[in-house]
Amino acid sequence: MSSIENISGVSSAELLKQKSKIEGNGGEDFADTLKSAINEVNELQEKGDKAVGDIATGQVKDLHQAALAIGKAETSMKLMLEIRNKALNAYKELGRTQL
Amino acid sequence: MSNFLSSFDISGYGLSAQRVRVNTISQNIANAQTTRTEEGGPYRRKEVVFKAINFNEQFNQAVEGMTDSAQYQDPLNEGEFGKKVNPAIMSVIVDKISRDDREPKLKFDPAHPDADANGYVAYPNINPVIEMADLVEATRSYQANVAAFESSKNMANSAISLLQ
Amino acid sequence: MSIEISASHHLAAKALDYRAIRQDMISSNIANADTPYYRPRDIRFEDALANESAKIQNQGSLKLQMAQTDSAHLPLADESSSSRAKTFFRDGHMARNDGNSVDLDVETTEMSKNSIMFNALIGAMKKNSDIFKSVIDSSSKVS
Repeated sequence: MSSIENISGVSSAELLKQKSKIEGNGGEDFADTLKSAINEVNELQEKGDKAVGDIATGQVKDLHQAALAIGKAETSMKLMLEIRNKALNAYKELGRTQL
Repeated sequence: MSNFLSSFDISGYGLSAQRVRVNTISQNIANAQTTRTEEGGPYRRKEVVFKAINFNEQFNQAVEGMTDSAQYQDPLNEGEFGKKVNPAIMSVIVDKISRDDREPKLKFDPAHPDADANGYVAYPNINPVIEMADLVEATRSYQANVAAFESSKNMANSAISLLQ
Repeated sequence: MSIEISASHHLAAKALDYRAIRQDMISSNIANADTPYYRPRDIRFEDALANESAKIQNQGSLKLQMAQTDSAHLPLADESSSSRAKTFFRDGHMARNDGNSVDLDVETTEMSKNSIMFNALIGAMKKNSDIFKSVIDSSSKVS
């Protein structure tokens, strides 16, 4: 019969060691992801704006390309807003934890 | 002054004018064999003459304030170099219904009650083929005006949909 | 401080104005298709709006500006950099017997194109204001 190991308590020192192992993989942290996402949404908004300007000045080559650009701008903006709402809700939920 | 709804007025005037033209042509065709009229003599062919009118002067002044007018380059040398686009937007009315005063056709028929001293009867100078061709063209113009009206209505509806 | 829905909103609004005027001009061409001595008219506003949009988007003019090296030199009266639309006679073929030179097929084609672009502009403006509204409304969903 193999020996039954003791269940040792979780020590915070071990947890800290694990956290640095995860970060050491070279992954981005949350702030960078957020910034790149916002930049992408901003670019799509600007492209949509330019498409509207092109329709107004009559320089649009394909009407469907302009419509797609505007649709992408709308969808990406709404997606980002929903994600922001979820993040804020999660943050508030965390703040409500009873200690 | 309602500037936006004036696009319906333009097509409306056009429809009325074309309708008068169709009525006149039908009158000509119906009276192609009429040898006696109240004013004496055979029926005289009637023709409508259109005129372009400036029916909304305030609107045209507003448009003139917004735009520059290019001079007419007269590519075919019709003698109108330098004419400017003023007024910009005009509609059409029937200026007059003129009577065709050409000589009537004379046919030899002494037995006819309207024969003159020499036995000739004066028939109206109406060629049904020409009248039918005119009728087809008038109908086509009428339909084009209807299409313009529909297009204006479509644009107005889509502008209203911005509010919803 | 003025609240702007988007940079191109003002441009699209002006384009809608011009397209409505152009619709009227084409309707009046069609209504006058049988009037003696009538020439069809049209309005060209794309250049004026392109100049305005270049100013808005800070792209600079699309043409190389003539440099005025001395104040005594006369400045170039540049037609193409004005921001006013141009009305002109759309003509080029012989007038018919009654002096009228309206081509009904050309007119109906231009009218269809104009109304398609008008509807496209209205749709684009609607989408822009939808995006703006959703940004405002989204904060109400944060509990």
